[in-house]
Amino acid sequence: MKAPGGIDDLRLRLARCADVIPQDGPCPDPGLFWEAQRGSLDAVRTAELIDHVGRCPACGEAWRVARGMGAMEQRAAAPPPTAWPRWLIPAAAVLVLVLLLAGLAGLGPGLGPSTTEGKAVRAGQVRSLVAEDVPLPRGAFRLAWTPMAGATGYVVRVASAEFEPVYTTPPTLRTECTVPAEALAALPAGERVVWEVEALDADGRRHVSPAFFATVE
Amino acid sequence: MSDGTDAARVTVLSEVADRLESGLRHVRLDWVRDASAEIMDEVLEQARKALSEDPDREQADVEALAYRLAVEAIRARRHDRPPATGPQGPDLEQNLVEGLSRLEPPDRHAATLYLEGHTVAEVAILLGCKRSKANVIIHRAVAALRRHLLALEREE
Repeated sequence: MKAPGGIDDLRLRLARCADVIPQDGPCPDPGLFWEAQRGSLDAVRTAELIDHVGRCPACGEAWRVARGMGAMEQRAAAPPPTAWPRWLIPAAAVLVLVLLLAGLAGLGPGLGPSTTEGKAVRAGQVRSLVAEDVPLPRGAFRLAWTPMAGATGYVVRVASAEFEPVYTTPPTLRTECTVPAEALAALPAGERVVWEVEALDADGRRHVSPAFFATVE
Repeated sequence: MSDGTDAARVTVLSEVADRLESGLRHVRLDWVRDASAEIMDEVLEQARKALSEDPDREQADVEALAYRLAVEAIRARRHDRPPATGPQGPDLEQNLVEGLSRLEPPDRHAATLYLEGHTVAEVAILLGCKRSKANVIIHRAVAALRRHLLALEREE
C-alpha cells in the first residue's frame, strides 16, 4: 500500500531521502551498523548510531542493507556485549530508582508523551475509558476518554497494529466517538488498534494523550 | 582443495548471495534495484576470492564482508548519478527528515527504525524494551511525524 502518509509511503519517502539530501559527514563506519544490528555493540553506541541514521539518509541506506541481509538474525549466535561487573547491577538499580523519583518530581524527561512536536504538550489528564482487551463490535466501536480541563475540542486518531491510519474524527466537543464500521472493514477480528486523543485548548495548543489500545471484535 | 571444502564454499556463497539480494531489495531505490545484478556479481566475486584465500572463514565473516562491499558499491554508483528528486519534490523528503529530528528519543529512534523497515519486535530488541512498549512508542512517534508533515503541507 502506498497511500499518502501510510507506512509504506513514509518508508519509501525516507528511502528516497538518500537521493535528495546529500550525505553529511563525518559518518560512522558502515560496519558498525552491521555490528549494532548483530547485537555486538553496547546500548549507548547503538543508540548513537540509530540517531545518526535518522539524520543521514545515506547511512539509512547502509542500515537497510544490513537489515535486509539479516544481520539481526545473527544476534543469537553473536557473543553478548561486555558483561557487567556484579557490583554494577545493584548500583544500576539505585540509579534507576533515583531517576524514577526525579522523573516523578518532574525533573526528568521519562518516556511519556512527546513534548517536542510543535506546540503539542502533555495531556496527562486524558485517560481512556475503554477496556483494552474486551473486543468492541464493529457496528458500535465506541471510544471514550476523560475530559481535559479547558479543552475546546478533541480529535481522535485510530491506527492499525501496523500503524496505518484507520480513522480520524473531525474536531468534536464530546468525550466519546464512534469509529464507522466501514473504517474497520479491512481489519481482521481480534486486531488491536492504537488510538490517541488530541485535545485543543483555548490558546490553540494541542495536548496529545498517551497511546491507548482497543480490540476489534 | 577437497571436494568437501568446495561444496561448503559453494553453500556459503549461495547463502550470502541470497542475503545480499534481500539486502539490496531493502534499499528501496529503483536505481539500486536496476544495478543489483551488477553489484551482486562484483561483491560475490570478491567474497569468492576472500574464501579462496581463507577457506576456513566463518560464514558470518563472509556475510559481514559482503555487506561492507555492497554498501561501498552502492555509494560508488551514487556519485555517477545525476541529482535526483523525490516523487513529489525534494521538500517532502526534507520535511520527513526534519520531522524525525524534531522528535525526542526514544520516539525518534523508534520512528527511525520502524521506517527503516524493522518490525515492532526488532525495534523492541534494538531499543532494549518490551514489545508492548515499542508498540506504544512507535505509534506515538509515527503519529507525531504525520502531524508534522500535515502541518507543513497545510502551510504550503
